[in-house]
Amino acid sequence: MKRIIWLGFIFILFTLIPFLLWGNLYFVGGDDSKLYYLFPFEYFKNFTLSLVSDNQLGTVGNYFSEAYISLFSLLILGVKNLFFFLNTQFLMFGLNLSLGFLFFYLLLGIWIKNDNWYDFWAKILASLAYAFSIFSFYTLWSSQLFSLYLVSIFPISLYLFIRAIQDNRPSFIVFNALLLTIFSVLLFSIPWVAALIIAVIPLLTYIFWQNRKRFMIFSLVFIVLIALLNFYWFFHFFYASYNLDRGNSDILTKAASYDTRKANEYLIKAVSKNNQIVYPLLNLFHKNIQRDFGWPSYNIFLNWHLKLLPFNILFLLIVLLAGLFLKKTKRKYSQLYWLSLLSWLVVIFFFTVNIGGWGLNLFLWLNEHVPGFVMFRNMYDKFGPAMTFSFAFLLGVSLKIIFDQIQKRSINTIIIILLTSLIMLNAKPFIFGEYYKIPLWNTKNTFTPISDFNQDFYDLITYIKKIDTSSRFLWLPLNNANYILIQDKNLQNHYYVGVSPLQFLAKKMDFNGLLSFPPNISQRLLKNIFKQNFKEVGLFFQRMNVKYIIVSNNVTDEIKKSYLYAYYSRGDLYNAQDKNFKKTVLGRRIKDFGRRYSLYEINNDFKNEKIYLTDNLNVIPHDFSKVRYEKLASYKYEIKIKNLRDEEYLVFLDPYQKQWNLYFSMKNKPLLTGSHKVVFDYANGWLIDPEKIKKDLPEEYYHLNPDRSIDLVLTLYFKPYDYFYTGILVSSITGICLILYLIYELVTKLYNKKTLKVKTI
Amino acid sequence: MRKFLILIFWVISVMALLNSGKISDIKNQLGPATFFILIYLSIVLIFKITTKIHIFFSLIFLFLIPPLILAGYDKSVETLSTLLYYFLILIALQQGVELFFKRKNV
Repeated sequence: MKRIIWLGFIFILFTLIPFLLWGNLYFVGGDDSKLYYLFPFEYFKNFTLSLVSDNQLGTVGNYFSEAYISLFSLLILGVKNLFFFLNTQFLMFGLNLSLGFLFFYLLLGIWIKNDNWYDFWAKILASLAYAFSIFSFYTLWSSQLFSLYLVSIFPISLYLFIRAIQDNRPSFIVFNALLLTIFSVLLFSIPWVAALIIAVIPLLTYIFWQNRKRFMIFSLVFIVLIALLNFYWFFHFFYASYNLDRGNSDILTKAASYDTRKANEYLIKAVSKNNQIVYPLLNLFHKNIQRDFGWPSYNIFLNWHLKLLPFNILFLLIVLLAGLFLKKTKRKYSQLYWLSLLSWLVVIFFFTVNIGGWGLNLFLWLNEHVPGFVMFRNMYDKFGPAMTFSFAFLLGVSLKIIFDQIQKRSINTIIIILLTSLIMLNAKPFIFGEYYKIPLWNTKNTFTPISDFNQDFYDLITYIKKIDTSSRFLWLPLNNANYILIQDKNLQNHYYVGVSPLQFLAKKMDFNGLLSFPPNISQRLLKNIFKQNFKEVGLFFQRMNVKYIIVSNNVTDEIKKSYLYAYYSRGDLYNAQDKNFKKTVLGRRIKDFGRRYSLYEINNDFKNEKIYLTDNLNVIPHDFSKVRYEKLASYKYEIKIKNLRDEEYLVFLDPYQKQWNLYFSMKNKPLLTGSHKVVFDYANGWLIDPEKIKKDLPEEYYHLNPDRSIDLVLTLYFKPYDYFYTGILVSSITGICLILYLIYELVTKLYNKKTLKVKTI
Repeated sequence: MRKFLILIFWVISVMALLNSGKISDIKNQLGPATFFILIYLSIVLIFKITTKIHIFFSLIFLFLIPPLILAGYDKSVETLSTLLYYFLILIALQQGVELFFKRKNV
């Protein structure tokens, strides 16, 4: 009972850490915005259900289902509504930390039973080492991407899987599959998951050896259930790979390509060249990579962790001391020790690479020859969570062996006190949120946590929402990434710095920086900006369907000189976008929003429309009156063409996808008049020949005008959307059946328990 | 089994030696780590060196590392920590062999 109280106390304490010690702001921004903590409903509705076009933030969208985030954003929505009085992000972070601790404890409990208090403490210390591992701080907790939830979900999932096999409990497999589906985002965090799987291969082999048949059956069932439950986005993920378009390679193909592997070689060498194995051996993150790449965390490492380094030998000392007792300990524990040591040594290699003369060569060989290995290019990041898991597991088993052999209470108590102190001291910067108080890179007084967006931004969003357009917005000045900067509501030096939320807040597409465009195009853009060929830049914006421009007026000097506006030197990208630049590309000023933002139309010289007719594919016409169109959804447009007399191209300024099809709206019959061409190196164009239409089709397909020209009503439709609802149906039916099965299992178990109790009485 | 393993280790080492012609080439081809491990493993098996001796060596390296880091001997630290890593591999290999080939309660 006392142990449960201890566990409960630690669980609550860990859940409260973010609330008590990390301030009260939201940690948002970066590559996935993390704004689902603030706007989960908008994120779910306007972003996660898109298959094409509207499925990227601050850049052009291709065929890709974002639905893998949908259940997660619904979960956040539920949590936000239920605990509306709390910081949703901190609640999720706190639960992640405490559940990670708890389930690592339970996972160890599969082998280490609570025979005495020392067994309990062995598990507690290992779980502390797991929850407060420096490898997690520097990877998962630092970027706070979706993969962060691996901290809790991985031990939960592994615990359920092993328990299911050992106790023959299929319901655990079912529950596991459902849990992983809610956190589908983790299935997409493939590199971190793959690294963790490598770390647990020895342990899983051990489990497999004990119960081969059940392991095989349960694994198969688990994989099938995961596939069916996630069919609604899995389908599009794989379908897109098998229906590749010109220049639009998907993630799988990109990862497997020769170019990617070659480019990776350079990165692997650069990242690993100064790694020293001594640091991970002493349970510390690599020092030199922080120094070489100017990581903001380096100062904390230098002033805190390096001072603890001499004491950190205690971790390895415990592992080595346990090795001395192996002959006396039970076979079960010596096996576990061996498996966890093996796992740790393998993971250390992948985490460090630069070991002896062979390490780098072996890693490069694996990169070249093992399909998919290319995903581990930033090995320090991908293998960070695996280091956490492997070392904590090894520590737990080692402590169990030591405590079993050293029967002296005083020595064991000293080990417990010393180790607890050391783990907590190592975790001090994380516990007190010091990593989150680091200013924006290259600045001293600009910070990224925020409480809310400023009112001017909300006014701008409200106004943009009402503009009837499917064309794109552009933010000026353009930066090095594809980020926008939004000042905090109250705090002057706090900014949201991340991908644009315009897509899900205003349902409008936008560009923000060089990374908003494909690499080859953005290089040309950059060159033209620096060479002051502003007319070329304007033409480029025109071709990218930029119709409106938002100018941010309050970029501080410090931000101007930060990495965001530095290309060759600090601030050069900002300075290049001078008055002349703005004069060239800006058109009519539509409205100011406080002193922060001004909304403009693009200069009349670069007027454009998303869909238009032209007889020359290389030029955008001045007259768009022949075509009227309406965006019905991200996958569907209705197009009305008037007075089509001669052969012309219908151009659609959205990334080329061969699955975009044109239909006659009335008859739902495909329009087959010409091939589907690539326009401006990225967009779509179809040749429409009125004579051919008149010749091949009856008059009910078009309207013939007295001057022999025709009017057409067409539908532009993205074909893979046909499978959108089928996917949802398959996943929903599977989900409902599994939930009913779990309820049945639970009720039967409760009934059996009750019957047994009555019989006993 | 022990004799069989010794034979395999020596054969691999000798083959590497014959293929290269020079000791330095072996270093380049197999890497010092592999060569070291193979030779050492066979010695371990011939003389039945126990895990305890490996742990003893590892402990010495472990205690030497912090003062060397503090004194700024980066190269020595790198060599010692790499050696420590190899000794940990040896412990793991030896444990593995014992667990697989000796069915007694080790």
